[in-house]
Amino acid sequence: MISKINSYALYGLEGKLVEIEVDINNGLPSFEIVGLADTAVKESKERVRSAVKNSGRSMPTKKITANFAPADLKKEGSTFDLPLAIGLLKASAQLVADTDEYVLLGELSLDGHLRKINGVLPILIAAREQGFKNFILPFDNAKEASNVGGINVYPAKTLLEVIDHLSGNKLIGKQEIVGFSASKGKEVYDIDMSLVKGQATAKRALEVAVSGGHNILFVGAPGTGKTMLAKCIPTIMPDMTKEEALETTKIHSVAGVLKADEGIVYKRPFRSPHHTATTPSLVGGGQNIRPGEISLAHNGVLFLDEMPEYSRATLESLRQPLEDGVITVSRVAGTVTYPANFILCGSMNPCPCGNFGSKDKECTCTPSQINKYKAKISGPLLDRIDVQVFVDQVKFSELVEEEKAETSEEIKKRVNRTRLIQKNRFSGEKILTNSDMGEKHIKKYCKLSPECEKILETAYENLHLSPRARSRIIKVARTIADIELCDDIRVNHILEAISYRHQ
Amino acid sequence: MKYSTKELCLIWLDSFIGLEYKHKAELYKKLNNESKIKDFIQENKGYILEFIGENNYNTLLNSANGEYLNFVLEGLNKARVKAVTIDSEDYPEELKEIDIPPLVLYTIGNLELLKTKKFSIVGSRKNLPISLKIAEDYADKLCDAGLTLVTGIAEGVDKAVLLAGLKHERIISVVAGGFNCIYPKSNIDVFRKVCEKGLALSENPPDVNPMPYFFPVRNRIIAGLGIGTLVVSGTKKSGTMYTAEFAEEYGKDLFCIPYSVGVKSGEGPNELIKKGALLTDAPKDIIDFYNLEVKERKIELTKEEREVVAVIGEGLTHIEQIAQKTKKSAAELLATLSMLEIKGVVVKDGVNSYSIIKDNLEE
Repeated sequence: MISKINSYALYGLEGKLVEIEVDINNGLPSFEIVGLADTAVKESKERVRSAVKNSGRSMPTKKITANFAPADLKKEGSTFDLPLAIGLLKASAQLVADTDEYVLLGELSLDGHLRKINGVLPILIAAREQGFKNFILPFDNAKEASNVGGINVYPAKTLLEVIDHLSGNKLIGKQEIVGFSASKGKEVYDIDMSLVKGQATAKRALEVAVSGGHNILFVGAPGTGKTMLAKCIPTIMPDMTKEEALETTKIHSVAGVLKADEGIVYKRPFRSPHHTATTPSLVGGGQNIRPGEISLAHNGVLFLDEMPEYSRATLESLRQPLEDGVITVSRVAGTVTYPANFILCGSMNPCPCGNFGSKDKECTCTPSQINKYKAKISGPLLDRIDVQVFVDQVKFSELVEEEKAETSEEIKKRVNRTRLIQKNRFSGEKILTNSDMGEKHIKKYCKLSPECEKILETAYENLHLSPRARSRIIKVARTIADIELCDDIRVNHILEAISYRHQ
Repeated sequence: MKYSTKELCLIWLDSFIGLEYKHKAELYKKLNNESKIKDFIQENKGYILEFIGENNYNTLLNSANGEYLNFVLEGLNKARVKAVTIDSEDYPEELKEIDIPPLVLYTIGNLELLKTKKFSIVGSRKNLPISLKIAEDYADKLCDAGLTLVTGIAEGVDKAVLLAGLKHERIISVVAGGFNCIYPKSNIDVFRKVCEKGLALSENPPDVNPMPYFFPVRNRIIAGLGIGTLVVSGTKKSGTMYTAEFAEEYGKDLFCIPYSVGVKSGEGPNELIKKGALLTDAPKDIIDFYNLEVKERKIELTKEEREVVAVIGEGLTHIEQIAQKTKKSAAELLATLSMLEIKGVVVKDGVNSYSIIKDNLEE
């Protein structure tokens, strides 16, 4: 007798239906899996053998053939343990049940327990679109699955539970669907802008950067609070919309970084890969193409601490995703596109010894050393970083009184407002924020008064600005004007934007 | 380019890198009135051999022909170099007064600058950020007052002076080594601009690679050309100190920027002040010293800007301190400080600290 069980495999962020057929024939006892299965899938027969035995069922001593269809699609991972085991039991008549309506997913442990798998969310969404309604999956994935409405999810702890459910002996309780609510994202950050003492200008720069979606670069000696400021960025970014949250969760699910108790990613991600990170680990890749750090930072922040220490090639690979918001990774095994829309936040020392510009300590670097250090970040990459801030530590004794600092919540309100203004302005365009503006948009949306033009010109002369700095300054000035609720860019806005230039 | 016989003789003589300066000078004295160099060399073999050695003598003899001279001249033309010899009309009088005047100055650019009143500014490659701004400010104002600036071609203070002087097209850069071997290479763009809008000088033919000992030797020309020298920065043992010593030796006025205790790049100028150099903390000092005319340069400040300047003047230089004292928001303060920077009243000195550049303000 032949059995057929539905399951799903992941390709990038897409789920694809895989039918698992099991046939049992007379002959020498053997267990064969066909259909382009990788090692983890091939090994599943050992897990299935033990799990079946330890669940009180018996392994038929016959010739067993399992086919994963479509046969030309490469299958990987341990998702197919559960459907294979059920298919085997069905084919050997140890289980009588109608499984056509079900999609089964899950990895088995030797004692028959179900283990958590990766990529459940994108699979469920894809399967729902193809008309499947009933899903049996590991209990640890239940929370994640609860975000998809319109389907029945039966989270199971063991193989036995699944057998009982399918045969109708004892049904598994349906997982409740949890609606998405943005408010859940609140109060989950363990850091807040009000905790950052002083640094008023850096905070303001952060607000400007986040409001306009500008990338930001902190320059300052080690230990001056660059990382803490960077960690504050997600706290003042607008709450994630449902679409954003689902998109981010999908990526995290595929990459296997989603926690069992988390379900959906409400927090804007903050990723800070170490500077020894390889290019594939950053942009995605590997034999079975997996999302990289920039995709994990999708809708959040990618923080590159000590930016000049990253390898040149790694940094340059960020240029295209910074421009397009997606990354397409091509390998022999296939081509996958992952979203990668993030705010890039870099930090660096002002010079190799870190003391350049310090009043207390003298810099021991030669000019050529400093130039070499700065040149590690290429011009085209710097061009995509609109805001640069200097960060230094102020001694408490130098500050007369402690100021009452704004909380992230208060700043976030303004950011939300500014983002809305931009959304309305660019409703007919393909862009969302001021930072996305090209030359064409700048001409259209950033008309400068003669006064502003004059200031820019004088600044260009007296402050030795580069020609490239001009459009960056105008874009940032546009954002500042939006924060101040001004339709036109005023002189003050240009001046403040000039203070965020590269130096 | 046309050269007189005397000039040609000097150019020929100066092209032998193996010959020491004193030998060249001695030979030139003897050769001065001779039209037939080769004959002279052969006739005085015994005498010449005695002080330059056989190898050099043979080289000299073998090169004493029109072919070799043309080759040298061609090299100069190729590098667009005009040679100004000690007997040329264009040779600066100031240099004739120093004890080892270069026999030939290789030049590219505006020779008229040599006839103007010149002033030297020197300093270190490693500086506090404000030192560069100070150099720029002095350069700018002194050019305005009608002085032509003389400096080297290094990074740091030299470069700041070059860039400021280029704006006024009143800049002379004295280079160590030949023009085809500019060191550091990173400043080759600035060098090209100097050739175009100012004047580049060297006492070495174009293809001579600069050796470390060329630099202190070159510094005597920098010190010698100016009516005075300003030392912006420098450690106790640095090329800058050589220039200062030369300036003292030649009886030039020596000005120094003072530094606070413990600043390495300020030890040089402080040491010089101790020994009696003139202390200056504003370009006005130098302009008044020479009774120069200054163009009226009044900068108008708004009320807010005046307030910020006053706070910085009190010694509260960090942006946080300024913000606290003036009760301004970060946004307002950043805009005001940008404006003050553009107007050239304050400079960013250090990571988030600001300093006032003196003398830009009406009292």
